[in-house]
Amino acid sequence: MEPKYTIRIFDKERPQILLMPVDIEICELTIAGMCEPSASWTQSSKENIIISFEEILNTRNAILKKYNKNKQNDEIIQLIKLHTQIGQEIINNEYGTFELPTKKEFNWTLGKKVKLLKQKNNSDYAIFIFLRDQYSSTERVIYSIITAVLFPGIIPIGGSQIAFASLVDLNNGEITWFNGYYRSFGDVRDLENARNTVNKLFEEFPG
Amino acid sequence: MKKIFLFIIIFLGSCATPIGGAKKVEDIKPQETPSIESIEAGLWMQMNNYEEKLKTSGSRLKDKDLEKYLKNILCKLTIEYCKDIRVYVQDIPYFNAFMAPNGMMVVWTGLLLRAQNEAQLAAVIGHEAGHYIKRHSLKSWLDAKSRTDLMAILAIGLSVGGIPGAGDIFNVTQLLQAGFMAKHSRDNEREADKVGLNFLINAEYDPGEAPKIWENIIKEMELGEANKPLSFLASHPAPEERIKNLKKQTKEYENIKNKKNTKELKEKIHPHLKKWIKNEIRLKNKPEQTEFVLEKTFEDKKNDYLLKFYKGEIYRLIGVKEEENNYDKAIDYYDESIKAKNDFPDVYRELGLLQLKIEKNEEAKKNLKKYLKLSKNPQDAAIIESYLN
Repeated sequence: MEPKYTIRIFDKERPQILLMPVDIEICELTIAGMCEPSASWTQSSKENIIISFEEILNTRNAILKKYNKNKQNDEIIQLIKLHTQIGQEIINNEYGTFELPTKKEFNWTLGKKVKLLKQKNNSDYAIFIFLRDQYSSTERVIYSIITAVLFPGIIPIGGSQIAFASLVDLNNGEITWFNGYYRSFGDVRDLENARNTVNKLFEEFPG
Repeated sequence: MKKIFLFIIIFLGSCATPIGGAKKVEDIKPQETPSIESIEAGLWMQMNNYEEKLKTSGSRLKDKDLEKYLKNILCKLTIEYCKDIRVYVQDIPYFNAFMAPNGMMVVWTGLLLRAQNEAQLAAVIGHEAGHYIKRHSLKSWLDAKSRTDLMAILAIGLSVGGIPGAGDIFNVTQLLQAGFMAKHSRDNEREADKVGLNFLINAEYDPGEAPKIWENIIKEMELGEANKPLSFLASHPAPEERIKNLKKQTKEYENIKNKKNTKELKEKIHPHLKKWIKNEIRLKNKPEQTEFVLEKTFEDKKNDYLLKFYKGEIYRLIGVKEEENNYDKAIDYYDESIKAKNDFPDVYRELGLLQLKIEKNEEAKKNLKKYLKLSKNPQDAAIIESYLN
C-alpha cells in the first residue's frame, strides 16, 4: 500500500494543523480470540500517538493544534463520523478489491462543512487518525505455541493492526494526503514502538 | 512430550476464569465509575464511543422532550442512579430496549407504541436499570470469555489426550455451552425483573402492569409469524415463565390501585403516533398481528375512526397477495372509519386513490374531492387535482 496525496508541500509557511480526536480502540485477545477492549492501553496509546505525531510535525515545520472538546458541536461530530466512513471507502477503493469503476483519480472530500473547524479552531488543515490494534494475552500466546506445535498448519492468529489517517484542507474539505494499512505486527502501547507505527503511518506526509 | 503439553493445558485451564466469573461481581454503586485498569473500563470505553455516535445518529428520534420524559420516569423509579443513566429513543419500529454497561439506555419507538400506559413503560425502564445496577453486561462478558477459553483449551486437550471421538465430544461441549449461555441470560433477566418490580412498587406505579406488557407481546407473537421473532424476545427467553414469576410477585399488591398514568404517556407519544403506526404497518407483518397492535393502541375506543382507518391501511398495503384480494377488505374498513367520523380527510384520500387503482373512477373522484375540501391546503393538492381531470 502506498500513501496517496494531492500536495507535496503545505500551501503556506508553518501551517496550523488541527489534530481531531484520535479514533482508537486497543484490545486484548483472550485464549479463544475474543477481543477484550482495554481502556488503559487505549489511553496510553492515544497519548503516545499524539506525542509521536507532534514530533513529525516539528520536522515538517508545521504547528500542532490540540482539539478543543468545548468547541465541539453536533455538526463537528458528524464530520468525524463522515471521515471514518470516507476513510474506509478510500481503503476499499484505492487499496482494496472494491474499486469504484469510474473513480480513477485520488479526489476525495469531506465537503465544505469543514469550514466550521477552520472557524472554530483557527487552523489550516485537520488531521484524522483511525487505529484499531489487538494484542494477544499471555495465555493466548502460550496457547498459540502449543497449537502450532501440535497441529502444524493451524495457527491461531495473533493481533492485527489497522490504521488510516488523512490530512484535510480546511478551506475546501479536500483530502490532500491519505495513508492506511493493515498488518499483523506493530505496537503503540509504549512510546518507542508508537513512534515506529506513527512514522510508518505518516510516510510521505507533506511538508 | 504430550504429558508436558497436557500439563501446560491444565495450567492454562486454571488461568481461564472459572465459569460464572472468578470473583463475585458486586452491584455497581451510585456514581461509581470503573478503574481504568479494569475489564469493565474497556467495556465502558467502547460504549462511550458508541454513545457519542448514537447522539447524532439519524436513527435517534428528534424529540428531546420525550427523552426527558423517559428520564424523569427513570428518576422517579430510582433517584440514586438517576445521574448515572442516560435515556435515548431510537426510531425503530420493533419492541426493544437495551442497557449498556456505561449507563446508556436505549428505547425503540416500537416499544413506546406498544406500552399502554406509563406504568408499563416504567416496568421496562426499571428492568433495564436493573441490568445496569447488577452489572449484567460485565457478568455476561466474563461468562462468555471463560466459556470460550475453556472450549478452546478442551478442544486441544481432548485431541492431545488421544481420546477417540474427541470431535464428537467437542460438539457436545458446544451444545452444552449454548445451553449455559441461555440459562445465564435467563438468570439475568429474572434478576432485572425483580429489581424493576421493586422500583415500580416503590414509585407507586401499578405493579400489575408489569406482566401485562409481556402478555401482550406473547399474544402478538402468537399472531405473527414464527420466523420473524421480535428482537427483544430473542435475547429474553421464556416469556411465559417471566409472566408467571411477575404475577406471583405482584399478587400481594393486587389490591393496591396505584397509578397507571395512561394519559401522560399518550400525550407524549401523540405527536409521533401517525408516523409510528405507518412504520408498523410497513413492516408487513401478518395482518392479525398488526391489527392486534393497533387495537391495543386505540383501546380507549375514543378514536375508533383512526383504528378503522389504519386497519384499512394494513389491507391496502398488502393488496393482492396469493390470489387473495385485500382491497375489498380495506374499503370496508375505510367505510367503517367514515361511519365513525365523517370529516377525517386522510381516509377519503386513501379510499379515493385505491378506487382509482381498481378503476372505480366515479366514486374515486367523489372521495378525492371530499379530501381536498376537508383538508386545508394539503401539500399534495396539485397532484390530487390532476387525478380529477
